[in-house]
Amino acid sequence: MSDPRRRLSFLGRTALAGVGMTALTKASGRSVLSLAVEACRGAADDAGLDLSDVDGVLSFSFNNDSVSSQAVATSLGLPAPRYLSDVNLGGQAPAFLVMQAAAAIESGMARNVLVFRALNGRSGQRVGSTRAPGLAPAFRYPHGLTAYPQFIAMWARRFLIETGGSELDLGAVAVAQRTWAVDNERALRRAPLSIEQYVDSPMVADPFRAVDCTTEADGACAVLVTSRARAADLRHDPVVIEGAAYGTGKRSGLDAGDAMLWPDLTRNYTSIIAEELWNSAGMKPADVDMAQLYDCFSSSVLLAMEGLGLAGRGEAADLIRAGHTQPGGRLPVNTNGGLLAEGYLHGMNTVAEAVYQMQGRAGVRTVAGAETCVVTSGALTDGSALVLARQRREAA
Amino acid sequence: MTISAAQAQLTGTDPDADGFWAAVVGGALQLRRCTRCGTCFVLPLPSCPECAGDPELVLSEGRGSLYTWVVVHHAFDEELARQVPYVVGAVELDEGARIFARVEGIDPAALEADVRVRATYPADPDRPPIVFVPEESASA
Repeated sequence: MSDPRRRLSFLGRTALAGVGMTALTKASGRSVLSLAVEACRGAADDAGLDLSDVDGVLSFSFNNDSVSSQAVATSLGLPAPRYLSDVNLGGQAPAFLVMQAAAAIESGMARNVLVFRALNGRSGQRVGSTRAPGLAPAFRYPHGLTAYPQFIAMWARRFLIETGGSELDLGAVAVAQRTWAVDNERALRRAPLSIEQYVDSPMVADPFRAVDCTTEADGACAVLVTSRARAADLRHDPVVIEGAAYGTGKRSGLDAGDAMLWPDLTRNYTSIIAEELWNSAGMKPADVDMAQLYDCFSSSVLLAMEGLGLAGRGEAADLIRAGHTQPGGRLPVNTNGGLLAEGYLHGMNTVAEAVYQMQGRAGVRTVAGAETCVVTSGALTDGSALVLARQRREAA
Repeated sequence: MTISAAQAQLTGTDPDADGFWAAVVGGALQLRRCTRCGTCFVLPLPSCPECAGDPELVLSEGRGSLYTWVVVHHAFDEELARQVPYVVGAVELDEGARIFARVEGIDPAALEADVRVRATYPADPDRPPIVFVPEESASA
């Protein structure tokens, strides 16, 4: 087989250059369009790029809960958009859309692309409880299986059964991530969380308690993708896209919540794409300094750590309990508190945190000396991931 | 013919799925079995997800083992909120297809992986359309 790195021509040649994010709130009192525009304008401003140089906008939405890239381009007054696209995907999308933006840039379809997610996901349509229509949902809803916490609880339970784990393994994730969130002013859940408090918190969809589930939010987040060469002339250190993969396997399902055909609910897309991801970056799991792992629910962190090879079978929870993923640990994970604590901007904020960290801009949470980061998007049968690296520039 | 409230929401909405629910009303689970590789599945796909072969309709014996389950404590609509806590299981039917449905007749705290179950089909329109119970249980 040919070197997969050769096939993804944008690797090493494209970069993330800026981040824009609104406040995360429980009731924004604003339109989704205004949130999207604030985040997108913010990402360009943050990078130090004039909006007139942006010629691409890319977004994703769930069940029509967002606004079009065309509407955002219009609101931003972009003079000559050449790449506007909206995909109907969920949490598997953010890293995948960064890949698409990078491919567009590398191929010449666009020069500077904003990738955004905007939603009134708390005060408006809530992803976690919306009954989206579809063929596979018709085989879930009549049984009272109507919402993502319930769908993914099925994966979590089988995972705990096969790995000999317990609910405390899920609790370890929630507790560890909260140690980061206390220092994140954007996070909706910032109070410290002990394992005792975890056990005492109410069950939602056993084995998930409320604190195993992301906290939904109103808000928007955008990142600016550009060429590595252009990024080098912008405000912050370029965050170079060194590795990337999107994928799933046979029997992926008819929608993101469909698990009727997937053979093994203890292994998600991360175990499918891991080899291609690491090969594309020319790196091994042990080579990354931190991980930002999509965590709509606590269990997805355990599956991703295993799937990517950051932990052995059934060993992720022990690594977390030992403190390795917390501040000062050897593999910091979800340094914004994750979607569990910061809030649910559908994983776009997971990518944003990676950029902040790689640019040394995560405040007191900044992991000193970190040069590389793996980022995932998705929790179920399909998903995407990036390996990012900081390109340090000489001080002016 | 009596159909449950849940089924009424579904029949007539998708011609591919109607046959499944009609079979449930008649007390059976309808599967699709690939005429090429023998793979069985519940979703009304036009071709086999394993080999893209043509499927034929077959009836399941309605027996299988419990692969995983969720105990729902918080429901997101009024009708389901009246029923909590309830168990939804993923059952691996003996024919090899996975199906979601209610699981009853076992204390949720006593459920174990791979326990044997069989399908029942409550006639009461206010009940869920398919309920798995322990295989040896006499009650429906």
